[in-house]
Amino acid sequence: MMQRVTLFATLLASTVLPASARYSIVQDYSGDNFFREFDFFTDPDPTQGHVVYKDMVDANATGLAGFIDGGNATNAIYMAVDTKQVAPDGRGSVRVTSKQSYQHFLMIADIVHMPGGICGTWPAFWTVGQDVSGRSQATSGSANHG
Amino acid sequence: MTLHTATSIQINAKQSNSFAGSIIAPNCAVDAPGQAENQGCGIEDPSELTYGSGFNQAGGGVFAVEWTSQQIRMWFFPRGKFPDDIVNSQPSPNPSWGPPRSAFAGDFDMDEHFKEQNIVFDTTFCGSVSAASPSAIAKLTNI
Repeated sequence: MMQRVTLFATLLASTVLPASARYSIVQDYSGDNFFREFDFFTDPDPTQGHVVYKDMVDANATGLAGFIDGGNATNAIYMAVDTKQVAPDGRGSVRVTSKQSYQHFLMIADIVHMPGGICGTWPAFWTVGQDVSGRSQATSGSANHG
Repeated sequence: MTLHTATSIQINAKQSNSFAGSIIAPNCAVDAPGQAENQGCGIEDPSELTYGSGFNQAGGGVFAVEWTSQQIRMWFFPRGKFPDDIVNSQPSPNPSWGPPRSAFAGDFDMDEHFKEQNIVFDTTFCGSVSAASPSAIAKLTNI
């Protein structure tokens, strides 16, 4: 049986003050602000995974994106993969990109749950350059980690 | 954690306690000789708390990523073990954080290779840069 796959996150990013080791907040992505500050990516998966990325309205209407409470999650951001449909052309999923770009930051991401441990499942949170000069991938896993 | 760059840069090997994980591949370039295509430079975390069922059973945790002109470092703190400064919403890497899980630095200009970046969250299945086998892909499409 396929497990329900979910990702919860609250995130804030900070930028360093000159001549100081302390950081001050520049963006708090928790709560409503997350979906205001992230765009839903709806092109075909550039990594050619077996998914169809949904827009915000469709994702929220089908239970793939929104907020969730329960356990360690309070008004947590929720992004999921469809677990109900037969999906020969790709499984409904969510990919979001921040509107704001950064060079240098201290990012704090509180994540309660990630998909994983199932062959082929690949959740990730990462950053990408606008001219694809470089890319960092903070966490990600695929079949060989499961 | 993995970095991908267009041109070749090598990350420093682990020195004493500079990070907790192990380097899988040292060259960040997507076409690095001797590495798989798009593999990039990677540091693997041996802890089962940072991913998958171990992560989920523990209630997840906080990933902290610090990106400066000198280095990119990542820490992970399991639920219930967050440093005070993070709990108080005034985070700043300090000795109470311990060593990072991964640290990327080397004899290269970080700012030349990593310019303005957008943050992305997604979940996909198989695809390139994933180790899933053809039999795993077939199993998924039959659900």
